[in-house]
Amino acid sequence: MEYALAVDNVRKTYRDFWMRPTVHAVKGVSFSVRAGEVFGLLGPNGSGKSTTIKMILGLVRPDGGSISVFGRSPRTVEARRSVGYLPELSYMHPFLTARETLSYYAGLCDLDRKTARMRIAQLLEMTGLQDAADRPVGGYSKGMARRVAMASALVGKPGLLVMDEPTSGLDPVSTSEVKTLVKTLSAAGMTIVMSSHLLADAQDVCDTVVILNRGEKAAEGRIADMGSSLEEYFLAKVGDARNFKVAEFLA
Amino acid sequence: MRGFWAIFRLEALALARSKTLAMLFTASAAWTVAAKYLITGDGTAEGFRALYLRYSLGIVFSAVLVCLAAAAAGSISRDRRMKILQLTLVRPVRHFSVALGRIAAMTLSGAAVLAVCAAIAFCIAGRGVQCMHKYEPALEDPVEAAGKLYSQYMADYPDFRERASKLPKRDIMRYLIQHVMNEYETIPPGQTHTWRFPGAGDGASAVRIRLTEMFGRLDAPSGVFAYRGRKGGLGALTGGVATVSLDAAAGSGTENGPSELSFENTGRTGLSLHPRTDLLLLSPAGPQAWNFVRAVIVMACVLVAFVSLGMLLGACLSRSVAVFCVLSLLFVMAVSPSVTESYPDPLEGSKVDRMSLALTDFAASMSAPLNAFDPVSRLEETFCVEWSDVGKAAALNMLLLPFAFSFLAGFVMSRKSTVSL
Repeated sequence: MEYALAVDNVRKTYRDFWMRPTVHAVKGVSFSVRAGEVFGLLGPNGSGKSTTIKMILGLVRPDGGSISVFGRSPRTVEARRSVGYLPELSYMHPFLTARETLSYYAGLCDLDRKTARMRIAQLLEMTGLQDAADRPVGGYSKGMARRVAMASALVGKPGLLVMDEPTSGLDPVSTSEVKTLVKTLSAAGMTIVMSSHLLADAQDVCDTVVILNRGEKAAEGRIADMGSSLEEYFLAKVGDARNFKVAEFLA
Repeated sequence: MRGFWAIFRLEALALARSKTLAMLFTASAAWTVAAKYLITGDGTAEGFRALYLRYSLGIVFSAVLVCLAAAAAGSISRDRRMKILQLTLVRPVRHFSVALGRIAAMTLSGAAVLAVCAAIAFCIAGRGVQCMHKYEPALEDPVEAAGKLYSQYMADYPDFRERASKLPKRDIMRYLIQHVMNEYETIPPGQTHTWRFPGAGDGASAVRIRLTEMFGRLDAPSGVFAYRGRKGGLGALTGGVATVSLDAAAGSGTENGPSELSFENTGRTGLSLHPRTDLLLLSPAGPQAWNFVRAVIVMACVLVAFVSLGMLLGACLSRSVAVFCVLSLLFVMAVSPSVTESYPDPLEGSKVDRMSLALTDFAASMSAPLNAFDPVSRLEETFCVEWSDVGKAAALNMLLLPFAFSFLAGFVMSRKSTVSL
């Protein structure tokens, strides 16, 4: 079985300036993602999702364990060639236009000029940004900026697309568009790893999920095997919501 | 390679659209033109030219250096703080080329500003002027001369021996080297002194000499220089300096060796000079236009080194700390040579003074390769910026330092991204 992504017993502890451990963010997590699959990395806030994603992207070096992206270490240039990344917030150079932003990322992905121009035109059309393509992205709305970020992640035609909270802060229409895009890309054979704490979104698009809690794997499996309500399954694995003791405070 | 160009284009656009470059360009060009009307000089064309170049191109060069080094220090740290850097680092691009592309864009922008200002300065103060190759006299190596002095003092003076036993030999040698460098040569009336200039050849056509005032007096010095059958008489001094033309028609054969310059003091008072620094033989090296071109290349090379240093600091530190550090470093590098020159003696003073001097000396020696070329002073004095200097400046500042700093910056960027996420 060929895996697009294999994470094996990875651990990460953040340390302060004096190398004293501050947070044990990930404690021995393992999972693997098949090529063409939509994989959800679920968990409450502070469960280690973002750290795991950063380790998959090669931005954070794990303290232990190993990660391979299409059989290579994620810190190699070859592995990075096959990875696209959509961050939680759309970080962009505000002085560039959408076309220049995509052209910049196309250059970083080593695309020749002709291919880059063609792909940028396709992506602008796909994201509906043709009319605003030559305006600086600093003046874009959140939804438009999200589309530029999505197009930037896709410009290199990655084999593995990593999305950190892709629907966070979007209105229902934009959320629906993102979900449709994920399904379309998956149908075209792209492997997608997305982290989210919005369970409805994950239930709609993911084939398989892993649930993290306090840096450890709480559950893993196919969505279809988790019953009719992912939320109930999730709460059963992670624990019920805390009942805040407000009566005393209000009194 | 496409990644490098993408980053280069991004940084060039950032500079252009942030209006930093436009402001720097406008201010530099305006100052270069305005300086013509603000500087009066000493009434002579040479005096005006020297002052004008020092205060126009010299100030523009310093301003470009400071602005771009500070911008470089802020560039990577700003992107890291805005979390844009991580989007670049996850792409298939080598991390050192992220720094290298930015360095190239910033340096080319700065070099363009310098080139335009140099062209304006040339039109105002460079046309019709010849530049000169300069040759220094071949004197004993100062370290060897200091070594000989040390042995002599140790043998002859018991007091020196006793004091020397309490101090490191390195400090004493430094003092003695300063002593050798500052050693006067005094030419009494009626006497002739000679110096060897092995590299000068036949083309030498002038001598530049700086005479030192002894006891506050330098009255109407007079004398004759002779070099390979050509002679020239020492005339009026400006600020203790005279440039004496060597004329073949005035010569009547030579009594010197083939590469020897002689000076006969025909005045009534003794003349003193530091031969290591105050005596130069000059030969014509063509029009100033090419000299300006070479000077701009050298300035661009120095700019690359400082921008690379700024980039490295920006990769290691937060934006404000990096900018502060790079400005402090520039200040220390600029003042340390004059501090070590003014306070050369580490044998005197308190321990704290000696430590401060040692630190300043360290800064001066570290920055010596960068300060060595000093292209504006050469233009000012119409000395030729030699192609060999251009080659050395390019090798050190355009190749070695930027690549080394970029590799380090790339290494730090990939490590430091873990902290800032």
